[in-house]
Amino acid sequence: MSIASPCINICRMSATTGLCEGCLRSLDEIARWSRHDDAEKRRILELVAQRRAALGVAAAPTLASTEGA
Amino acid sequence: MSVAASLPETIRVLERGWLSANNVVLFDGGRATVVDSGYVSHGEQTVALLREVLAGRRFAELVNTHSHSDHIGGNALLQRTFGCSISVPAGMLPAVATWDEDALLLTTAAQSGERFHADRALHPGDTLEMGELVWQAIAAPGHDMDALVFHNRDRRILISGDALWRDGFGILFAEVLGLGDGIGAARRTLEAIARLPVDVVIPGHGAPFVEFDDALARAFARLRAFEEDGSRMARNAIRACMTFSLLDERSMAIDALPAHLASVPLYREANARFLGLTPEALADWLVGELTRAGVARREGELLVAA
Repeated sequence: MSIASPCINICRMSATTGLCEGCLRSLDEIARWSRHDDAEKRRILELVAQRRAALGVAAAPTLASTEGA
Repeated sequence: MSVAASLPETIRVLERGWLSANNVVLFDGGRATVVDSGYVSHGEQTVALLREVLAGRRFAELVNTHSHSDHIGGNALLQRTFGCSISVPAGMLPAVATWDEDALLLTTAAQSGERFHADRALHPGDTLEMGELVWQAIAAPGHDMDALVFHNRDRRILISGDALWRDGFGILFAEVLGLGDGIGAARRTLEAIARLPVDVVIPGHGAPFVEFDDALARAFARLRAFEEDGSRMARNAIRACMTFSLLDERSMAIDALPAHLASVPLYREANARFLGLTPEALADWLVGELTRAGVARREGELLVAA
């Protein structure tokens, strides 16, 4: 299975940080996500964790159950 | 290398979440076609993401796989912003033209949308040129009785919408609501899809994948389980639809849940036809399910999206 996207469905770009308010990725990181290999996805997840710590935002678990809308 | 990176350079998949379906961007020189537009409340991010990948190329046409809110929610904003024309499956054209919020499942499932103008109807068997490839539109009833999937025979790619995911398929609304043979239609759709030459599937939700046979086997197994036990299908539908609403609204008052479950047609019908629970018992079960699955947590009197 591929590495899950950190999207938590709060898909709104912050004007102050330039990052998505939900997953703390940049537009470029979201737009290219599906083309990245696992190593690059892990690198972005690591960056996201660092941003969470720096911004003082609690980590949000990704959606486990995906029986679908 | 990811599966998406093995796709032709002319195809970019914007992998979104559950509230917004994926956006598939296909380039023909300086012209782009986009398949599905996401949920209405994510519209601004959808515009920003598309501007990023378009890089100055012209967004000429938007195509929808089906009429649900997570696939058409951005249509109006994209039409205003980019001036693209919009093509929809022929079966959903009347509901779009009159903006019938019941037929579009907006009121039925307590979801939001924004009215748009559809320019063209797509029929099963039509061919589309997108991403320097020729795609055939194929009828894919089940989750949505008017849905289409798009198949390219040369590169063996299937844009499957919510007819087939890596693990399952979208809610069989007609079956749950008692409006049609959703299970039979979904089975015929899966059988038709299974006959196609496919190496890569670009689903409506989740990452593109290559495990086509495995995904089909799972989908057929789920259909059999639903056929044998309608209550399982109903519970799945209620859980998935409430998860969607919770992601949209972020929190709900727990004491208001029974009245909500009794008033929204999808929950009311699923419960009446397959479960026969009191709204209070259904609400208790649902809160337990969503918190156990990690979808939500209790904060005092509120159910909050996790």
